[in-house]
Amino acid sequence: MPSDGLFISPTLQSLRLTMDEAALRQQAISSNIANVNTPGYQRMDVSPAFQNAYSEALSHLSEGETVDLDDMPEQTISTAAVQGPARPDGNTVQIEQEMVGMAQNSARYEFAAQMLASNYHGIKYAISGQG
Amino acid sequence: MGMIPGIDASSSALEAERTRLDVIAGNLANAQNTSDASGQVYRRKMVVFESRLNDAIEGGANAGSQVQVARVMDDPSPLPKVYMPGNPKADAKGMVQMPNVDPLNEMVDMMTASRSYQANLQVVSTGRSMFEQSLKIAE
Repeated sequence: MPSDGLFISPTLQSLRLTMDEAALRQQAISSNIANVNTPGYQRMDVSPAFQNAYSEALSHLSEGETVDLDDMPEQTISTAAVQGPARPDGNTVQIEQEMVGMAQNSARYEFAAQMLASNYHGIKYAISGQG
Repeated sequence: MGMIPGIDASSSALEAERTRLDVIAGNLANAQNTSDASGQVYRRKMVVFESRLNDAIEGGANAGSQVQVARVMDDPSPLPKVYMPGNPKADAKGMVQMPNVDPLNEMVDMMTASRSYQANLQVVSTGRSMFEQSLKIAE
């Protein structure tokens, strides 16, 4: 599909995809922090299938081609690779990493939301002639 | 899941940590109690956390885990004996069984519970600000 139309540009698609991925990761982080004291809990992250599809889609979009967002795999989270040894009770959550990850994640989400907002403001301005 | 991502997990954690604080407070209050409701020496209570999967989103996808207090159980560790000959519960040698509550342990647990509570509040706050940003897209 050629990149015509007001609402199907690669930029808007990549922003929307970024927000989808960040919201999914926020769910995983929230689950991890909630279970920081649960014995035996394994930390979770965005599923590798979605992660790979996301990176690939982003690289297509950055080259100016549009992608079919309905082709993305299901948005799920799954048990993730662990960055360090498990604690004695089997829990693998590192609270500092989760908090830092959450800060980065929410910054990315809010950045994408702001960019989308200003994009639509631009379109509305062009339509109405008024800010 | 609702509109704020991750809110179910965080709110379950807030509840679970609150329960843990209640149990800790009960332990500290009863640290010298030699006769509880059933006449026995008070035994330290502890909470056991377990995770519980969120309701799966459509298609059976995994949506993360909540946490809940599986049960509140008695700490099975041995009760210390203290020499108190005048106490009505003293045995023949003047030893009294005291609760197996160590205030230092309870304080450490309390700090853990409190920090975890703060971290989960932070997650709720972040999730909410993400949601508020997304509301502004259509402004």
